[in-house]
Parts: sequence; C-alpha cells; structure tokens
Amino acid sequence: MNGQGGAITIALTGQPNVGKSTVFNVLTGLNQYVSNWPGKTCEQRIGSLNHNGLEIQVVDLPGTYSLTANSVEEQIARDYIIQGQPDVVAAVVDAASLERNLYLLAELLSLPSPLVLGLNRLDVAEKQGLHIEAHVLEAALGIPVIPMVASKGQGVRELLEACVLVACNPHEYLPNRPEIRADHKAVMQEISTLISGRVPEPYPKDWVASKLLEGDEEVGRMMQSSLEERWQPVHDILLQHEDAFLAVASGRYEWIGRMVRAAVVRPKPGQVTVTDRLDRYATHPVWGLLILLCALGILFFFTYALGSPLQAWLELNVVQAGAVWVSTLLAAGPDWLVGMLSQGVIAGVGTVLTLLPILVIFFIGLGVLEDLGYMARAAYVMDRFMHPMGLHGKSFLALFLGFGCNVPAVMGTRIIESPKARLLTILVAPLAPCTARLTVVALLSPIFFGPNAWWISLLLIALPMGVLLLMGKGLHEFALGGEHTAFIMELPLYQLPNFKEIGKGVWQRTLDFLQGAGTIILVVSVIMWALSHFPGGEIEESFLAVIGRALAPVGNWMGLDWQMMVALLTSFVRKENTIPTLAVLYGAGQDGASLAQVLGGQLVPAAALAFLAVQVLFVPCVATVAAMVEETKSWRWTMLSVGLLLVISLSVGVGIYQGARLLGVGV
Amino acid sequence: MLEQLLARISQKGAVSLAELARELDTSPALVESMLADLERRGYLELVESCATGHCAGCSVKNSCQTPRMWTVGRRAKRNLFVEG
Repeated sequence: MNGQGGAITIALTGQPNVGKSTVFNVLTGLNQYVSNWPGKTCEQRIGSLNHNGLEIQVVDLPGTYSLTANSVEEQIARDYIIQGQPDVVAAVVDAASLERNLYLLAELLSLPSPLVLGLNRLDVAEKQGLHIEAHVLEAALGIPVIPMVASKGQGVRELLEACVLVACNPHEYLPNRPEIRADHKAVMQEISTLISGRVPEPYPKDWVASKLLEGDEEVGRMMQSSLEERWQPVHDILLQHEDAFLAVASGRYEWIGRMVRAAVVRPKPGQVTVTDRLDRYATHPVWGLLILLCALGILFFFTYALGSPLQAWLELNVVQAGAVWVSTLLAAGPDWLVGMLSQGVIAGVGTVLTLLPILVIFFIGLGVLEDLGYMARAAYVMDRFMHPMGLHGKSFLALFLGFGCNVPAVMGTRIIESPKARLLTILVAPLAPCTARLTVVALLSPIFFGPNAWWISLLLIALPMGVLLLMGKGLHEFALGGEHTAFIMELPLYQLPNFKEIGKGVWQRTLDFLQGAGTIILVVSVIMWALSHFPGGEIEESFLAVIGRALAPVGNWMGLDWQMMVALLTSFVRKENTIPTLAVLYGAGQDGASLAQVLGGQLVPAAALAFLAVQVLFVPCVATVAAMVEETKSWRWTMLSVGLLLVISLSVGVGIYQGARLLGVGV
Repeated sequence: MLEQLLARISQKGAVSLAELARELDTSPALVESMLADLERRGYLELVESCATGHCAGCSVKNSCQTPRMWTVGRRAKRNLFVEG
C-alpha cells in the first residue's frame, strides 16, 4: 500500500466524457477539494472516503485519449501514474465506444500500477445493440472488469471494492498486456539493453523503450540527458526505425481487436442500420451508378416538368409584356433607345429572370440530395471514373454543379484542396452539360430530328461527358504531371432533409446567380444588340453579319450557313442566346411563322447534328470564362481550356458532317 | 494493421470507412481512432473542406458539408511509399 496507516490511493482515469466525474462524486461525496496540479493551470480534484475502516484517497486525473503527452492533460495523467505511484488505477470506459476507450487502457496496462476497469454506460451500449460480456472481457484482459451505470449509481461500490481488493493483493495482478508487433521485438530488446541501468527511477524500462520507439519527444529528451554519450547508438537505431510507431500502435490495435472480438456481441446481420443497408446499394459499383443515374434523371425530370411551364409563363408575362410596355412608354423617344431597352436589356436580362424557376427547382432538388446525405455517395460512386484523371470525388461534387450552370461548377472547385486537381477540374468544368445547353438541345432536337429526337438528345448529352473524361485524362498526363491521390472517405448517416437549411442554401445560390450572372448579361445584352443593330439598323448589314460571313468558310465544312455560325457565336454570351439569335436571323415571327417552321427546312440532318454537337462542346459562356479567370488567377490556363474546346468542338462538328457525307447518310 | 490500412488507401481511389473496417476485420469506430492516430503522426492528412477562409460568399458552401476525407500524409509518402 502506498498510503500510510492503512490508507490507499486510487487514481481515477478515463477519456473525456465517459462519466468519470460522476464516479468521482458518487465515491467521495462532499469530501473533495480542488486545487491546481503543481506548476500547471489544470484543475486537480482529490477526494477521500472511509471504506470498512480503510482510508481511501481518490485522485481524479484529467480526461485523456491516450498517454502520449500530446497535451498538458495527458502529461499530467501519465506523470502522476508513474511518479505518484497510486496503489490502483481505476479506468472508467464508455461501453458504447469501447474500442476507442481501450486504446487508453492499452497504454495504462504498460505502466506498473495495477488496473481495475469500470465498464460504464452499459445501458447506452445495450440500446445501441452492443452486448458486452464483462466476465469474458475480464478473462481476456486479466484485470477486474466492473459493469456500471454510474449515472444511476450502479456498479460504483463494486468498482471501489475491486480497487481495494487489487490494492491489497498486488501480487495477484497478472494482466494481459499488449505487445509490440513481432517484427519489432528484437529492436525493442536492443534498445532495452542499451538503456538498461540508466533509466531514471521510477520509470519502467520496457515502457521507456517502447515510448522511444514510438517517437515520444519527452521520453526522448529524458533519456538523452540520462544516457549522455550512450544516447548516440540509441538515437541511430531510432532513426533507422523511424516508423516503429506503426509497429507499437499496431500491436495495441491488434490487442484491442482481440479483446473486442472476444467480449463484444454485435448486432446480427439482420439488425444492421438503415444507413448500412442503403449503402450496400448506393455505393455498389453497378447499383450505385444506376441509382445515381436515376437520381439525376428524377432531378432533371422535376426541374423541367415544374420549371418549364413557369418559364414559359414568365416569358410571356415578363419579357414580352415588358417589351410592349417599354415601347408604349417610350413611343416618343429615339428608336435606338427603345430598341436597346426592349430587344437588348429586356430580352437579355429578362431571359435570365425566366430561367430562375428552372434554376431554383434544380437547386432545391440538389439541396434535398445533399441534405439526405446522398451526395457523399454520389461522389464515392463517381470516384472510380474520376480516378484515371487524377481527380477524385470532390471534383465530381463540383462538376455535378455544372449540370445546373458551369459558373457554380467553377466556383465549386474551392472545396478541392489540391491545386492541381482544382485547376484540372476548372479546366474541364465547361464540359459539364449545363441546363442552358440542355435547353438548346431540348428545343432544337425535335425541330431537326422529329421522332428520333429523344435518343439523339441523349447522345448529345453523353458527348460532352465523354470528351470531359478524355480531355481530363489528357491534361492530367501531359500538362499536369500525373499526380494521383487516394482517399479514405467517411460516409455520413442518412437523415431526413431539413427544409429550413435547404431553403437557406437555395436562397444563397439564387442570389449569387442573380448578382454574378445578371450584371454580366446586362452589359453583354446591350453590346450584342448594338452589334446586330449598327451601323445601318438592319441585321443583314450589321457588324454581326460581317463577323458571321467571315466565319462562313468554317461553317461550310459543317454544312452550316453564316446565320448558324452567328448563333454559335452568340452562345458565347449565353448558351440560350442561340435560340433568339436563330429566331431573329431566320425571321421567325414574321408572317406568324414559328421558329420550328422557319428552321425546319434549313438544314440536312447531318448538318443539324454537327451544329448541336458543336453547341454542346463549344467554348464556355462569358460568365464561365470570367469565373475561370477569377478562380485560376490565370488567363493562360483559361485560354488553354477555351482554345481546346474551340478546336475540339469544331473538329467534332466537321467530323460528323464530313463523315456523314462520305457515308452518304443524312445529307 | 496500420501499415495494412496505409497500403490499402495508397492502392485505389476512395475507400469508405465502413469498407476499410470490413477489410481489416474490425469496426468503423476502431478504424476511426486509427485514422485520428495516423493523422496526428503525419501519416494521413485530413482533407480541408471549406474552412480554408476563401469561401465567404461562395454559392456552393452548402455543398461543403462533404464527408470527412483523409489522404496519404507527407510522412507516409516519404517513409513508406517512395523510399520503400
């Protein structure tokens, strides 16, 4: 016994929040006093009690996760147990997270003071479906294990009695200690021999050797000053085995694994959690991909089914009504002002407004998927496709946003920490088929292809995705140096969506879209109107027509006339601009003709396919380019991406048309 | 056990915590404490998400509630995978 006159000292230890303080209070009641640990600002609590005539002092050690001297608390706990030499250490562990708690126990077992284990919160563990057989754990550990529910006072007295018994019979204490992994035993023996006789009292030699191998700085300093000139050979061995920590810690984890396998009965396979059950499909290579496709399909379906009618309504009541209102209001004003406001500002900015319903519904759908916890799985499933590009799941999260709009996709790369992966994602982000491009495809496909439109549309959506993978792979290998990253990912539990949080996210995104895209579109709309209006007021003689005719030779290779080329060019401003541009240039609305009627007979199928293929692969819109410059902080990289897309899109367009001509199909 | 874990994540792309636990024949809770241990020692790095300061006003900061991710740390690269 450590104390004098029949007194014993119990050190109470455990990780934070395991109910250690409750045990301390139940044991000592009001007989406790608080001071500071000598030389530290950390609180020291000591209490006393009388048990069957035996004076017992209980020292409450600070809560610690291990005894590695990472923090003041860990240092205090470890110094007290080694230097204070309590008669017994009572380790309180949380049965509900036994594995984590056993790590501290593994470290405590390496110290000389005998241990008693208080297995607290058994009720919580049982509720979680974990059944711990205390007597089996006791046999496996070789130390007394006391089942407890300290919050209800259960087991505290038994813990005290076990402590007294162990303190009074220390020679019967034969614990099953964790050992360093077999391949490092010889090294540890070598160090033990080298430090033998020079280890300061009362430090145990084997513990010091083990801590040296672990790389414990404090023990290292202590032994350096104690060994003096004999430190060098020890230091040399430690340098050779810099990774011995892995062997020491692996020994502990394997020991924990053995203890848990022996004493813990886990829920049967039938009782696995909902998350586990869902993840079996959601993260499966085949099913996971199908579920992802379905989730995307449903997302787009709702976006279009609900958003498109609203957009049509806004088109009629905001854009067209606004144009009429401006014309009436400014009837007496100069023509150019009326034209600029109605055909420029209202047509341009109004288009953005009409797209809002589609965007908001898409953001809500995305928010629900995120809040459910599904997006982590989507990223996980997509990772295997991203990996050949040197990208990983987080890039997918960013690119996924590109389905809505490429601008947030580019900005979304902020969540990617590796600069190379981030740059690569930004460079390929414009290839994510955004809703604007999908809208153009959805509107023009039926006009060009009639009943075949649905499968051609699907091909047109798959095309940029395929190019995205190829371009990413190419950039990764040749331009960015083939850096690969590997990840461990924690998949959060599924939960019911919180609509308040989703609402906040949708509001923020919508606001950003309006602020970011809205201002640029206003400026560009006015410029485009001016280009199509001046110098003569007729579009056929406008600056735009001059530019279009200059592009005509390239258009000829794809079977496209200058109007189609201008439509492509205006899509640089905003992808949807293609539609109004075509409508204006082909004179839709004149004599009551719809776009379908004026455009239907203009192109052969091969040229139409070439046009739409170029459209989905074409250079990103102004807003995306601006975001790319801002995020990469480099015009060079942005221009590389834009240039590559220009070359790729035109090559694909020419390839389709010329290929079809060679085969004599669709021309 | 820890080397097995490190070797596993250097092989392939993403691996989930649950999958790692299955492969190492242990529980996700123990894998999590191994990850914390390896992170503290520099063998793994916790991937920073949006807490890096340049996210103010970012429209996708909600998406930053991404799962926790760990990647191979400098120490593991230096000692385990490059030199030997």
